[in-house]
Amino acid sequence: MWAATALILNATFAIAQDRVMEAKASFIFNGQKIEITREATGTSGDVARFVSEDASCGGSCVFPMEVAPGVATLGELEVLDFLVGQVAANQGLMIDARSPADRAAGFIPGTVNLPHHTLDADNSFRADILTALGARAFEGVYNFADARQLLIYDNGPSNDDAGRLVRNLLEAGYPAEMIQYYRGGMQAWSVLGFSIQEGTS
Amino acid sequence: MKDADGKDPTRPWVTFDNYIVQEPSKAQFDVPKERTKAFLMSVAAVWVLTFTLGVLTTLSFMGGREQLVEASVVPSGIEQIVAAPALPEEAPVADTSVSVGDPVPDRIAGLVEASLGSAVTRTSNSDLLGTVGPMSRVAEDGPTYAEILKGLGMRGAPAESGATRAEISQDKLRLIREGVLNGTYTVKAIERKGRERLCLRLENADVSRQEVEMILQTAMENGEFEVPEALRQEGGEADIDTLLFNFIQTSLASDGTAEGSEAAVEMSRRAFMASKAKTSKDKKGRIYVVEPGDSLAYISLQFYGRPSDYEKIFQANRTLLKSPDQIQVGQRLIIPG
Repeated sequence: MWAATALILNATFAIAQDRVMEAKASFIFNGQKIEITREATGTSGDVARFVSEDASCGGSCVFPMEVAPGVATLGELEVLDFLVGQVAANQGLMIDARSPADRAAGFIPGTVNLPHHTLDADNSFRADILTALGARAFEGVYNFADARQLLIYDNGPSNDDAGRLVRNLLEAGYPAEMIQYYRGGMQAWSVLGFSIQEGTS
Repeated sequence: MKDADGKDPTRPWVTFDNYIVQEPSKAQFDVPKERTKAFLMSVAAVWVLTFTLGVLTTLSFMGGREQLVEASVVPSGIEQIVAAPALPEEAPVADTSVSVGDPVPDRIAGLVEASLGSAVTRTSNSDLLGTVGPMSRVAEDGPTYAEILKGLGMRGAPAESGATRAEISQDKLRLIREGVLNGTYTVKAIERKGRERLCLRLENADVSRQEVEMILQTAMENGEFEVPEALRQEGGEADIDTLLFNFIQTSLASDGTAEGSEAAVEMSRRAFMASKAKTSKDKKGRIYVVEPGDSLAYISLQFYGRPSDYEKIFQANRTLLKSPDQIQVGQRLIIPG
């Protein structure tokens, strides 16, 4: 009886442990070695700097889990997987959809700043940016077969910068299955004590 | 030889049904098994724990939560499996670019900076995804079938004996042409011999691809016209789908009306957007690896929206290709920008 209990307990524990991974990542991005750990503790009191309210909804809103149909929402471990797998292999880009001013307060290392309004339909740089992301352009339309996988984030659930960028990309024809969304954003990232880079880049 | 379905009976044929259906059903069988196992184990554990130890509430809570987490993890696992085939592109290619350093982040940073610096003005170039073609206006005095053939560099006009058939095919082709002028068509990937190929598809017109294929095939066998080298697939067969596309597009482009040429460009746009052809970069430029079923004209269709632009690719690859029909599976062709 006890042996059986122990066995069952063990099995349960094993299943649970299967899913627990050490949350850290190390990869090369843009020629530089990036290390992400959870050891940046002590700064978590700083979360407030990432909790700006989104101007669009008069203050106290929070944005839903699904940013757009077909766009997957990721958690931290999947984000690390994406950085180590896709970004390091130059097949994907993790994109910060905030304004440069917001980004300066701190951002996830190994990510690129692409403020959402740079992909507004009336922005004259839209075509160039889409091409830089790997899209092929022709007669006002795009083909995305060679384009990068994108993982988009912003300040977090109280902020819709990522949502706006995603909608702009979808409107330009970027396939939803090539876009992913990290909803936790800087708010969850900083609470968990993950590495944060500051300044401009 | 092909039968009426366009299948080649001498080759293994993977149908849409047996290819697609198996995978999901397999996943469906796997998932519940794992879930029940986890479920049973956690239930048993919770039960034993609650019984032996006295910490009733806490533990049943944890057990319950664990179950939830377990269940929610399953779908994401599936998504990853489904998404996986997109990844294993050519790894060596990615490697070469890694060593050089990825230029894309810097390019984007530059563009963002420029974009932020400038006032956001310039009204955009029309609706990017607007795919509604020009409204119909059937050119009564369009080119004849024989003229189309000649214009395509195909040998000879239909023979006397084939006059009836030529009339039928002319009607079919005219029907397709009108459909394209109306915009009631799609250009999308359709399964051909186990591979996805871009094909012109009429939405309403009662013209099937098989009919057209039979007409063209018979005409070719009778020597009524010859398939141009660029429309020969790597295996030597005629690329009927691209032939048909080119047929319609060239006749629209050369009919002298604004509607016709706009419809031809619209065909290009749709084909360009629908293409799934991937390229990689190396020292020589943009590289496409030839796949089974490709013809030079088909590759041109995918990258330039026009089969007739194959010459661009041919000229850039003269070291590999002595003539346009000499492409082979696995060849690394330069695709000029």
